[in-house]
Amino acid sequence: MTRIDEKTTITKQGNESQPTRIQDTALQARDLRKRYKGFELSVPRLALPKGFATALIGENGAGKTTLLNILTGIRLDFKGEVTYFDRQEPGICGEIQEQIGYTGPGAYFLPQWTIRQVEEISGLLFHGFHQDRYRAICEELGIGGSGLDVAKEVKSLSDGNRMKLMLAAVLARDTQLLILDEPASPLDPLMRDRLCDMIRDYLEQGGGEKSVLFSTHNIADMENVTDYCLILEHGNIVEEGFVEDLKEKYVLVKGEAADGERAREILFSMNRSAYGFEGICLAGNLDRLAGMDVSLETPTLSQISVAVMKANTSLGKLQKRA
Amino acid sequence: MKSYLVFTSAWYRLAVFLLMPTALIGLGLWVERMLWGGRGATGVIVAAVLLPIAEIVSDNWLFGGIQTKDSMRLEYLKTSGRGMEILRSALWVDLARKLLSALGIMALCRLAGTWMAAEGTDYGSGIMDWGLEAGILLYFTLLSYFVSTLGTFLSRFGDMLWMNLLVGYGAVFVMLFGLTLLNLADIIFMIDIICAVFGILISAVTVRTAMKRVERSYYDK
Repeated sequence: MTRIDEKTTITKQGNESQPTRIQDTALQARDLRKRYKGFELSVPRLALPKGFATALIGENGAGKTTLLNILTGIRLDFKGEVTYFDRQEPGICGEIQEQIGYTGPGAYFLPQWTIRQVEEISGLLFHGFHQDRYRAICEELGIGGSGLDVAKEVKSLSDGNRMKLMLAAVLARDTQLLILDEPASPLDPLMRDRLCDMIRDYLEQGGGEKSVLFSTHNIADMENVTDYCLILEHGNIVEEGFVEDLKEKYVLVKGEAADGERAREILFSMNRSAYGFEGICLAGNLDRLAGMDVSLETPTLSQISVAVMKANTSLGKLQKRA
Repeated sequence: MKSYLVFTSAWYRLAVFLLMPTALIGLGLWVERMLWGGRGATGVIVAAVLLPIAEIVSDNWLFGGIQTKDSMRLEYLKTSGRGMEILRSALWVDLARKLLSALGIMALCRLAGTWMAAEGTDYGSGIMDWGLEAGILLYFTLLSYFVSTLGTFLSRFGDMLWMNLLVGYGAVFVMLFGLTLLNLADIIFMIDIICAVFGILISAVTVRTAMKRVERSYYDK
């Protein structure tokens, strides 16, 4: 354990008060607002770094899907503006949609469509769709079991296979940006790993020009492909930054049970047991742990995200109080 | 045309382009020959009455549920700038296909019925008013198209097959009622014009409603 005494000064480089400034962006949004009954999405500023994979993290109902639908152009009733790629003018049009591959939850394709129909329709909908690439991805991902049966209907596919089909349809296109809504959720662990490889390959092929934005609850599985992170709670972005910066901004603190009560006030989130406690602390607040026997570790993105979410949700606040 | 075809599966094409016309014409001719002794007109009546139910039920596999509140299911189309245009074309081509199918099935039934007509009947003897025949054929076609389109329009507010079946059964009764207008053979061309006007109206309403429903899903309406 490291004893933090009053004289020790811990310096952590990072972005403690301001989000990282992004040089090139895949998209920028300003003053986004979308109101539902009892919920409001409010994003004063959003910048998606170009050439990176960005994870959009948040609890259920935080507004992730609404935000992604707005960015994709399938929801138009919102206030604010979104500017895509290097364009000067905000707004979405067919030309921009051609450059964006989107996979969404729920009924995305018509249930009666077959794998072949998805191919035919994609060819009509998008100029940059490659039939051979689609077939190759479908076969590689083993959609619908061994041996690709293109006559199989979407409704007969499992959730996992449906997601694979969506991925095949978007990856078979020439795009600049992928927006994937919960791509990992219906996939098995092996396939999640494959998904990470696919995202990495996509970014590598783009040579810094292609970007990915995906929402996820499976933070741990997707961490190795996440470069940038947006944490959304109650319709607001409560934290954002490059993962490496966030890992410097936050520290995982483990300490003795006796110090638990004092630490509770300082830590973002804390788990206690009879033996001790562990929690996430802002690097800038480490000096407040002076006098405690604690060990410091670099947190995972999952630990940071959970801590930030706990700090910003009523559920988290209740847990902390308990 | 391609816009429409991409919405249809191989099974749908087989069923609607081949099996449905074959079955209706076959049944019409069988009734014509076996049950009514070849009077020349019963086959086409049977086909005209049954065509709407076949069209309404088969539509469930094509655009079933497109007018439901939950037509967000067309998300994939909405991610393309051409999605709505493709959908609109597909809806219109589907209506054109319905009209051509009705015309083809009625004409074939009528021609075959005439050929099969028994000796001693007007048809069998070749004593026919061809103008009136054309008017009646057009009437069968337009009435059948109108009822099919009205039925598909109504059934698209749900996506359950039983709803299509229910509307299909209702269409049979509407057809039977509509066929009573054949008694007004003197003004058959007037009736044809009325059927055509209603056919155009219901076609426009069908496409417009489906597009509006889908376009509304971009907003919270």
